[in-house]
Amino acid sequence: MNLVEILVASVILVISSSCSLQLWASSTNSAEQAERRQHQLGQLEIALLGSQARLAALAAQPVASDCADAASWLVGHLQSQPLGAGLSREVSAEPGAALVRVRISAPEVGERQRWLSPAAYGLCGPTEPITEEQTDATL
Amino acid sequence: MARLQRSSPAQDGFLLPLSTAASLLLMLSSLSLQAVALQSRSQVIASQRLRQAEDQLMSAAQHLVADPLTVDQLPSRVGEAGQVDSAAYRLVKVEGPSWQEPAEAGAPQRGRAVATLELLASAEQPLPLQAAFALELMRQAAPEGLAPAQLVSLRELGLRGRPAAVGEP
Repeated sequence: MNLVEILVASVILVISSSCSLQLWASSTNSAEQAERRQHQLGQLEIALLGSQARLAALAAQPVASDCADAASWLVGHLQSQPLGAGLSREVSAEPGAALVRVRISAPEVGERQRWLSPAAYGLCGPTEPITEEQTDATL
Repeated sequence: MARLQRSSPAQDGFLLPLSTAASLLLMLSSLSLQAVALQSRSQVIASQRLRQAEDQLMSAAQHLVADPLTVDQLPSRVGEAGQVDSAAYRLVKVEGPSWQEPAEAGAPQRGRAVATLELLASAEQPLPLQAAFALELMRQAAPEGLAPAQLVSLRELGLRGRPAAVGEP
């Protein structure tokens, strides 16, 4: 065992340890980030399905005979629903269109959006709409 | 003194292989950890893409039934294509509607249909995807016969895999 051998062995060990530590740190960061993203994706899913479940809960209770009117009513209704922390929601309907766009975004994973139709849940159509008092009572 | 400073031949070159082996072990363990982290990241991205495709399919289904007057004609609309935002879709199959007998006279009749939609291939989604949706229908019994069917619920039944796999036993 001579000095040169000790020095070379130490250098190899130091370099590999430092590389290894960096890789461990980056893996840990990456795993944490993936977990955070997964959590936020779950939150987005809950928020989106919550909006859809709200429509399903109102099923077969027409709010307007015209689907565009029902869509604009739905925009206000969905906008007032509670939303998880850290998420932002945008509910919009194009004028005269019978579809409502629900867009929910989270800072790290971007956004998810779905178009929802009041007609798919029987909220509009040829049947007589229920009165405003009845609608409020059911909510 | 000179005998003390000289190492035995067995001890010569012992430290270098030991440190090399230890370094290799360290590097291998950290590299495998990195591979696992990268794999979980790509899984998150893949699941995000799949959820976006599900959103597009659900939007397509909602778009398809947006006009309440055309629900009765759904079976005849098979093959119809449409577009929501940048996603193009096609109605592939409609099963039903099958109607249940009302529990009591005068009660509305309930029915069910299953529609299969295909999301056409695009830059974001290179392969077409299919999903099935359950449509709950209702129609009132009127003195002059049955009223037109009204859609009361639309539920997703999940992705149906690649079109090539659809229809296989």
